[in-house]
Amino acid sequence: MAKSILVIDDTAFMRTTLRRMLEENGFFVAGEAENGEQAVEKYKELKPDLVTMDITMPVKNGIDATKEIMEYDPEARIVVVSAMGQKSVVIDALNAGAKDFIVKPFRPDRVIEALQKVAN
Amino acid sequence: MEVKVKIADMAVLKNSGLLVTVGLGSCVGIALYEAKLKLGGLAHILLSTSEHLSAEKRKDMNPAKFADTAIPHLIDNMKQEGARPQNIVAKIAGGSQLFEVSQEEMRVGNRNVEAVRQKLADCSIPLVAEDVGGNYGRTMKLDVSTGEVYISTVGRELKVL
Amino acid sequence: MVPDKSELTPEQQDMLRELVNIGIGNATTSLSRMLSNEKVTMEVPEVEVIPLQEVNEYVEQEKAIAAVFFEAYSDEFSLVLMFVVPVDSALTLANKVLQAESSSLGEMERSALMEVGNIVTSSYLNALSDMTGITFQPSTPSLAVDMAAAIFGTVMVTTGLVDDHLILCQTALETEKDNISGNIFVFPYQGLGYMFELMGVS
Repeated sequence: MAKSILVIDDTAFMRTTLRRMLEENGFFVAGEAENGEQAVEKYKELKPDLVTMDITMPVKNGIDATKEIMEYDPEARIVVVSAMGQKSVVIDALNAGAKDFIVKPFRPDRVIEALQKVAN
Repeated sequence: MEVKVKIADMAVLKNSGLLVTVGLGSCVGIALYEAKLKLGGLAHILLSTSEHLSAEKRKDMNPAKFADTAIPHLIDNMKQEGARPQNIVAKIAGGSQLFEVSQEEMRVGNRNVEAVRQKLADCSIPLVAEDVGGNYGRTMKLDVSTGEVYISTVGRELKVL
Repeated sequence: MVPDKSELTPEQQDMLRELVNIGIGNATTSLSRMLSNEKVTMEVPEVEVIPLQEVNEYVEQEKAIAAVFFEAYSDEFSLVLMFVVPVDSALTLANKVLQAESSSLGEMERSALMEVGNIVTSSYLNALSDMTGITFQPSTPSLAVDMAAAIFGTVMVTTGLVDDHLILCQTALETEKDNISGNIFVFPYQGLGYMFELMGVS
């Protein structure tokens, strides 16, 4: 059965790009969120298998959203996809509970690989 | 003849010609006009108030940056050319929000417009026309022979105040 | 705020050029990747101190541009980053990235531009962070499409870069085939003294 994914990014363009890419590779996009607060709400509502999480977002950033989701569900599988690739940011994200960190611009196969690995 | 008024700048012109300022985003352009003398003044302000500056900084500061200092200064400059404050009227433009921002403190445009309105009222200068707000930039031209103000933007019709 | 420097010594100018150089390679690589590996060339960074009043003269005032900016803050050193493209390049860029053939900058095109601008300037910041060991907090990026003078004036006012003089660092980028040209602007905002020391400049 296809794994379900929640796509989180504040830019419509990125959400559309990720959705297209994920659907082409056999994933089911359960929903989208455009900021950290929506991210947590949607996660609780949809209970997806996987999450792609941006970091720099209004209202609540991706690191805080990751922490909250992990608190709610310690089994959550979050892969961060962000333009913010500073070392300390990567460390913060992994410490918050993200399973992997991909810096934009990304190669689609890198993202798919990461998600498939985390899913299994 | 066109006299250019740059950002944080002001100028006065008499009889004929245009006072022009380009690029009013969050900034506000203040046009003051004394019809009897055909005397115009234009200021391009950046911020609402100079209150936060120390007394020392205020001495050397450029008055055209702030609404609260630019307006009295411009009036003085016009008085030096013979204008009588009771005959001066104002038209303003700008104070727009070019970038989508979620935080209130980023809405500088609105604050600038409010500060300008307030200072004009404090100086008893009637505000007779305005073209403010929105999410686009403006170029403002004051024709000192008529007191008319022309507002041009990217992709919209010319507006006359 | 940057201490009101009305001039920079040659060593300080060199250091600022280097500050731009450090990140630009990463930024151009990112842009190239987003354009399906189209070759992107960059020019030598320019560093200037200009009176605030001249900021609009510095750019082609009434030219319509698309600009993305954000602030990168840290205790040691903060800056404002901008990615600017003229509207015709902006449309070409958006279409290339969206693999579409739109004739105007609608919502999706603007979203694509915002993301490209975000990624390019973030790539710059990532490299700068790696080199200096400074961790920056970025603000959420914003996009505007309008006349250059209005955009630059607004960025100055919004970020508080309103001292009498402005230190402006910029570099021009250009694609080999697609006719996309753009500029990256770096405005040091606070902590320039710290940076001079870090890079060994008096």
